[in-house]
Amino acid sequence: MFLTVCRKSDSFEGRAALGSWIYRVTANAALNKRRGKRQELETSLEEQLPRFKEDGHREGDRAWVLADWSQNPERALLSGETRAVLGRALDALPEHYRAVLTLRDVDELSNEETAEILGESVASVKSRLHRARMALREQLTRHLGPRT
Amino acid sequence: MTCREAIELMLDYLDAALSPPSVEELERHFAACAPCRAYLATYKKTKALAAEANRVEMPDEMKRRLRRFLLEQLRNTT
Ligand SMILES: [Zn+2]
Repeated sequence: MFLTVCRKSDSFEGRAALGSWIYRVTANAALNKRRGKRQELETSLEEQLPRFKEDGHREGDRAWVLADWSQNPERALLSGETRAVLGRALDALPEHYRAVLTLRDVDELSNEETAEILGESVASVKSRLHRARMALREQLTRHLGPRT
Repeated sequence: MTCREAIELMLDYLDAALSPPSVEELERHFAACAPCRAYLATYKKTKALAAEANRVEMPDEMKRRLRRFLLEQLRNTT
């Protein structure tokens, strides 16, 4: 993967994004490989995606499908136990999902730029990004629960 | 439009990558569907929180050294 990045780096020279991205993605890749966890992570990600009934409505209690914690102050969401939940959810993402999330949402590259760096199709970048966000959202919602 | 379809379109919706008719149809669904409004609000917030939590800035000097290193690697491999 390192070489793939190097070959592509000329087209991204000057981008501040590359430095922070390569640092995090290679560190994460090494970590996942050491843990031998990739398959396991993929499976657990599936379990965090929304489930739907046959009529296309989301499964789950009314209170849970209506749970909206987005109005909580951001400093509260980014501290304490919620921050820890988010950190664990990010760590639990398979590395190639985290790479997409980092490039798109942290470094704010486009789908096309992300696809080029990773050597993937735009469709696969979008699908991974969407699934990664949904998995994180699910963990945060399980932690924060329905508004009382 | 079902909730399943609405959630599937959220990524493109937030990227402003949907056609005007699709936006209109999706927003009609949101107007009528509280669970999807909740999903959209928490999905958007999740995107913002993940970005914030991940935003660890590398010092400029380290970026420069890394970029130089990458370019050297590139020269060596081609
Ligand atoms: Zn809906």
